[in-house]
This record gives sequence, C-alpha cells and structure tokens, in this order.
Amino acid sequence: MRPRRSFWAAVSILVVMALLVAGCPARQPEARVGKHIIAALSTDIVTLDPHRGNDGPSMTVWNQMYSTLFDLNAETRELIPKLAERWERVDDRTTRLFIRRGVKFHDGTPLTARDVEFSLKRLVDPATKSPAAFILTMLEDVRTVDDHTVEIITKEPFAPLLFHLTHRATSIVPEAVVKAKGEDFARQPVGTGPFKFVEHVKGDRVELERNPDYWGGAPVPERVTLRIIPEPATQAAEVEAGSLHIASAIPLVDVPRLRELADVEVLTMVGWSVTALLFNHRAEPFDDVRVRRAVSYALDRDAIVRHVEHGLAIPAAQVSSPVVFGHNPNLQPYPHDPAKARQLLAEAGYPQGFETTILVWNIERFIRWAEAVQAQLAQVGIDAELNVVEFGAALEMAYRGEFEIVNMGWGCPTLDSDYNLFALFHSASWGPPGNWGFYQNPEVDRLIMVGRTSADMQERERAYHRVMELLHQDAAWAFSHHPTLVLAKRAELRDSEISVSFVYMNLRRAYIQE
Amino acid sequence: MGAYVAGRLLHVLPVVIGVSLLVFLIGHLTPGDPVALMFGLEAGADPELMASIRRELGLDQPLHIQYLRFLGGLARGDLGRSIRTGDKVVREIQARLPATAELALSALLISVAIGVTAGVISAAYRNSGFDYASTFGALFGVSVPAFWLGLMLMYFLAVRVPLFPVSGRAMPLVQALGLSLTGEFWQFGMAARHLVLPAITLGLPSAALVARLTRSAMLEVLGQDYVRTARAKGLGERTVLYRHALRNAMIPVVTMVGLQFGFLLGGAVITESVFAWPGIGRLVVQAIQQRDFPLAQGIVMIVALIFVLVNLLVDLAYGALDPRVRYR
Repeated sequence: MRPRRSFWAAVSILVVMALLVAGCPARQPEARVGKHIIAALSTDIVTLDPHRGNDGPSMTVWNQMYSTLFDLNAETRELIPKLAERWERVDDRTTRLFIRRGVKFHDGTPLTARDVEFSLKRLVDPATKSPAAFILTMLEDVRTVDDHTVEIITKEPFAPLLFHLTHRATSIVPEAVVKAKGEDFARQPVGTGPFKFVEHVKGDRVELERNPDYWGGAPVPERVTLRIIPEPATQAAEVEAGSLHIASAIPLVDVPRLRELADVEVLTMVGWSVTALLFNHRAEPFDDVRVRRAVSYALDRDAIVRHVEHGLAIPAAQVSSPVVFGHNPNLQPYPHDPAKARQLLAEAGYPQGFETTILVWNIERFIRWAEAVQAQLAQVGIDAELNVVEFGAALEMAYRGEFEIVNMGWGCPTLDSDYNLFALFHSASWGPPGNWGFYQNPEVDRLIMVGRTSADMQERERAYHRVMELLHQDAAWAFSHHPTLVLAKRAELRDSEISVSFVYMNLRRAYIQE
Repeated sequence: MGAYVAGRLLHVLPVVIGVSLLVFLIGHLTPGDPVALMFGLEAGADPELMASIRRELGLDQPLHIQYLRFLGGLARGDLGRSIRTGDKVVREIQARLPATAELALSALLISVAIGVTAGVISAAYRNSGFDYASTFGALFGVSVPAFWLGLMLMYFLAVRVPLFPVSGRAMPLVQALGLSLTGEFWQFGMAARHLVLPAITLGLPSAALVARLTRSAMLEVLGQDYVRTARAKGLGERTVLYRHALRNAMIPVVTMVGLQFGFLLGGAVITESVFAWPGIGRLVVQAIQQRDFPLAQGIVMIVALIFVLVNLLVDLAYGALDPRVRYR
C-alpha cells in the first residue's frame, strides 16, 4: 500500500504547488488600470532604426516613436501634413517643404531642416543598407535652404513624391544623435513621435512611454506595450480574455465568433493588396492572350471569397484595390464562365486543355487559395500541379523567371497606383523589381510614365484608369481578390484615431473606458 | 575521472566544428537569398541596390572564404552579426536562450515528476486499473499535437477560467526570484504562472515517454533475483521498490531524459509560438526562413554544444547510479 500513499503525496504536493502559483496575485493591482495600452505584433521587430528595416511590426513601432514629413489617412487617402507644415512645387523636379517650428526630439533638441536632409539622404545611402531605400531612389538631392526650409530635387518629375514621404522608412531622425551613437542608435532610438522608447525585450515586447512634449499635444496613454504574439489564435484568445487591447492578426475562422462577444469589436476595411496568378508571358501557352483570358474566366472569384477567405475579401478586376488612387471603378472582374474558357482554349489550340504548374509560396493562406484555383482550373481542362515552395526559394525562382504561373500577393503602402504599376507591369521592371513574368505593352509603359510624371492629378487618374483597362484586356495577370484588413480590439479601448490599417495606427489618443 | 571529463570536453571541439560546417553548407546551399528576402515583395527590389548590400555583407565572396571568415570569427569568440537586425548574434542568443532554458527545465521537471511516478506505480501494480489508465494517458500524451494541447489548455485554463495568463513571459524567473527576496513575492507568482501552461504543453509528451520507459525498466528489474532476495529478507515494499528496484531501473530513464532535454531545448518551436514565449526555437526557425546565416549558425552551434554537455552529464550520472561503472 505504501507506493499508493507516496503517489497521493506526490499528487497533493503538485496540487498544492499549482494552487500556490495560481493563488499568487497575478500582477500589481494598478499596473493594468487606466492609461496603459497593450497591442500585439505578429513577429518581432527587425530594428528600431527606421532606416534599417522595412517590415510591418517595425513600422508600427516607428509610427509611435517617430514622425514622417507627411501622413496618410488610409481610409480617405488624404495627405496629412506632419513634420512638413506645407509644401510648394518650385518646378517639375523640385519640391520645397516648410518644416514645422517648435518640434523637439525626445532628447530636447529642436528639429531643423538639416535633420530632414540628413534623414532622407541616410535612407538612400547604400552604406545604410536600408531595404526600404527604394522608396526614394528617384531622389537626386536634398538641400537645406534655411533652418525650416528644405528642397527635394528628383532625377525626373515624380508625381507621387509626397505619398512616398508618408512611408514609415522616411521617418526623421536627429542628425547629431545618430552620428554620435552610430550602431547604438538602433538600441537607444530618438525621434519626434508621441511616445519615447523604454525597452525592447527581444522576442517578447517593446515598451514605450508618453512623450509629454509631443508637438501635436501630449498623448493620452502613459504607457504602450507592444507584445510579440506570433500565433493568431493566441492573439484572439488574449483579446477574448481581456489581457490584450488590440490584436493585429486573428484567424479568419474566428471572426464570426469574436463578433458575437460583447466586449470585443472586430474592425474591417478593404485592404490595399491584391492576390493574383502571375503568368510567365515568355512561356507557352501563356504568351497567348486567349489562354490567359481562359484562366480568368475559369476563376470563380465569389466562391474563393466566400469559402477560402471567409467572406473577408472582395473580387478583383485589377491590381489596385478601391482604396488605392488610380483604381478604375468601372472595371468588372471576368465573370465565372467555364464554357467561355473552354471555347477560348479550343481557339488557342488546346481543345483538351493542357498541363501546367503553379508555383505557390508555403504560406497557409496562399496554399488554401491555390488549391481552390487548381480545382476551378480543372473544370475547364487545365491540369495544374501545385509546386509549393518555401517562400525564400520561391522568390528566387520568381526573380529568375523559372515558373509558368506563380501566385502573387502584393501590397500598395503608398496608396498610389504608381507603386503597383511601375514595378509590376512596366517593361523596365522585368525580373526582381516585380515584373517577374516579362509583361510588355508599349501603351501601358507610356501611360504608367504619364501617371508617374504628370503634376495634374486628373490626368494621372485618367492614365491609370486606361492602364487598368488595358491590363484587363490583356489579362496580364489573373486577378483574384483584394483581402480585407481585419483587426480585433477590446470594446473598452476607445480612440478616435484607431485605424484598421495597423501599420498606420498611432495610439496617441487611445484610452480605456473604465 | 578528471581525465575522462577532460577527454570528453575535447571531443566537443570536432563536434562543434562539424556541426558548424553542416549548418553552413545546408544554409548556403538551400535556394533563397537573404537580401532578396529582406526586400521581399517591394516595388524596388532593384538588382543594383541588392548587389551593393550583398557586397556590404560579404555575401558575394566564394563560399569557402565565407566559411573561413566565419571560423576565424569563431576562434575569436565572435559569432558575427545578424543579417536581418544588424545586431550581434551573441546578443540575440543571450536575449533568447534563458527563456528557452527556463521552459525546457520546467517541462523536464514535469515530465520526470509525472513520468517516473506513473511508471513506478504502473509497474508495481501491473495490469491494475491505474496501469491501464496510465498506458492510455501515455498514448494520449505522445499522440496529441502540442499545437492542439496548448490551445486547449489556453482556452480552458486561461480564457474560460482565468487561472493562468494566456501567453507571454512576464520576466526571467531568476529576476523574479530576486525581486521576491526583496518582498515583492507577487513578481515570482506572476513569472511562475506564465510558465505553467507552456511547461505542461511541452512536458506532457515527454512525461508519457518517461512513464512507459520507467514502467518497462521497473518490470524487468522487479523480476531479478536480487529483488526476490530483498523481499525474502523481509524488507518493506517501499524500500524494495525505491532503494533496490528504481535505482537500477533509472539508467535507461536517465539516458532518455538527457536526450529529451536536448529535444526540449531545440524542439520547442510550436510551444513557443502558441504561448508567445520569447525563446530560441522561434528565433532559429525565423533565422532559417530569412536565410540569416550567422544567426542560424550561431544558434544551432550553441544548442549542439549544450546537447553535448548534457550527454556528458548523463554519462557521469551513470556512475552515481551504478557504482560498478568506471570512467576511463
């Protein structure tokens, strides 16, 4: 009988230990109350230095600590002056910016035009190794005119310049501090934003505190904690439990359930990215426009939206989503018409269909989508094999044009179609820059350049509308859908400025309703 | 024994170099380019810009030169800098290893406590109700995926009944212990509570293995003549079980626990992701996905080193368990 007794002794010790641990006060009583906002990031940040990274989580943090010259309202596409108070065009290549007066960095030194010149030049300097340097490659020079005036000169006329200056990688840093600290700047960052850096516990969280001297008025929250929670299901559980105020990534299947909960709100907004099949225009049979159209007719976009994306997407007819400048509202997606697709294939010389391979990233969302696409293509006789490849390897294959069809998910953070069109469809962008499938149409090239260089917004818009039509006629890609941005937050978290676009979210007005 | 330990420690060197070469080769021969991945899907993956960054990072050098540079750094105790973050690899590992060690040790504790207890009782009461229940439990423990188990524990014990925090690590346990000594006992409670669910998720499958192995080792030992002798001498059942049988049954168990610890250290990726635990498993997977060669090499080498040292400890433990074992 003795072992039984010792077994129960062991069990009771374990139970007592568990109870002891469970019984300990969870946390300091006042730690959670009031003005401490906790939000989640999906992966750890790459860097706190805005000129050294280009990932969403880092940008979310930079957005709290630094300011850019301009800001963008993701919902209205409106340009908001930030560190640049106003601007004027001097000529078609020169823009003069007037820098806001009275702005101080976190270390108390005032912001001057020299810091702006230094920051923009630092971003594009190859020695900085910024993966976001491309955002300002059109830059020829930045000149300080006086303490609060700076001129930006581009190599060629570049219409979307101010939109590019909303990109988080163009955040302004203090010249003196960066020069003094060197590599250490990334560990002791200083900006002009509403929150100051406190600490970064690698893999776990970033802690920020209120900057009472913020030029736009002292922020409401005293502290902001950005927790790194890689698993969307865990983020959802945290919000449900009330220990997280904002979840940036939640499983799409959980959305209906979270919507049912009284103390959780799910916010959605049409996103700025597109999911599509990218054809290799140099590979048979996709050099034939009839075959590409057949693929577009074969896709059942409504079914994809409903069953693959859980209703959280809209069918796509073009590369730019409705929130992006240049979106053509008159364009409809190719209807789902398998008979028409079969007929086009027969005309192109493939009455029995053909076999092909789709290169797919090993990202769950894309795999599920590709499986649906595969089944839909099979209905018109296209026997597509899925070649699911790890993202890094797939990217290299795509850069080299080693594919017949590759899946594509592309975002447009500047909300201006130039970002989409020049990289993806201009013949100067063949290969790594984005036109992986070697698409070429001289009229499209010409119109993209009109959009890029014209100062007349209406002329730009007309050019982009026409480009969207031409890409549709050419069936350059088979556009599938624009995924919806989804964010879950606690109902007690209130803020006039909380936006679904997490990258653009600034928490300076957030507070918790007790 | 001193000479034995010194000899074994010398063996560490070729193992680590071998591992480093393997990791280096596998990393560099896998398709995928760190600079391309840094750009990812962006409008300006300009080949010239990428080439200049590759040059800055020394990635344009021939492979053998890159490896020799890496070894040179290693000799000076320098593991290089992460391509992605630009931070020192040593610093990245220092930041993440303690969290993993904490989790792995707690999981090990759970697996040994549950596994050995259940195994001994199962063997002592063979074919009893407890034995069947424990067999079933072990089968469940090894079959259930960590992802599912973690989410279930989280849902029922953190969301539904908020006994434990959902995820995250409050602070290093050591630091919490220090704060407790200054009177802030709640700090330790908070740190420990964060550890419970991930440690159970990670420890349960290995508890199942330990239980099965302990049971079979105990059954074998209990059939030996010296156990019958011990009983015939009139020793109490408890003394027979623990003093005579268990100690002899422990040798295979200790071996497996040592190996398990290695797996727990390196294989906690899923548990770390589910519970947002800032450990090294997540870091190494990310480093590999992003082709952050210096970081991936650094982590794999450190884990290999720990694995070798744990194995050495296991071998030394044999001597403590069985006086007949001699080290030469």
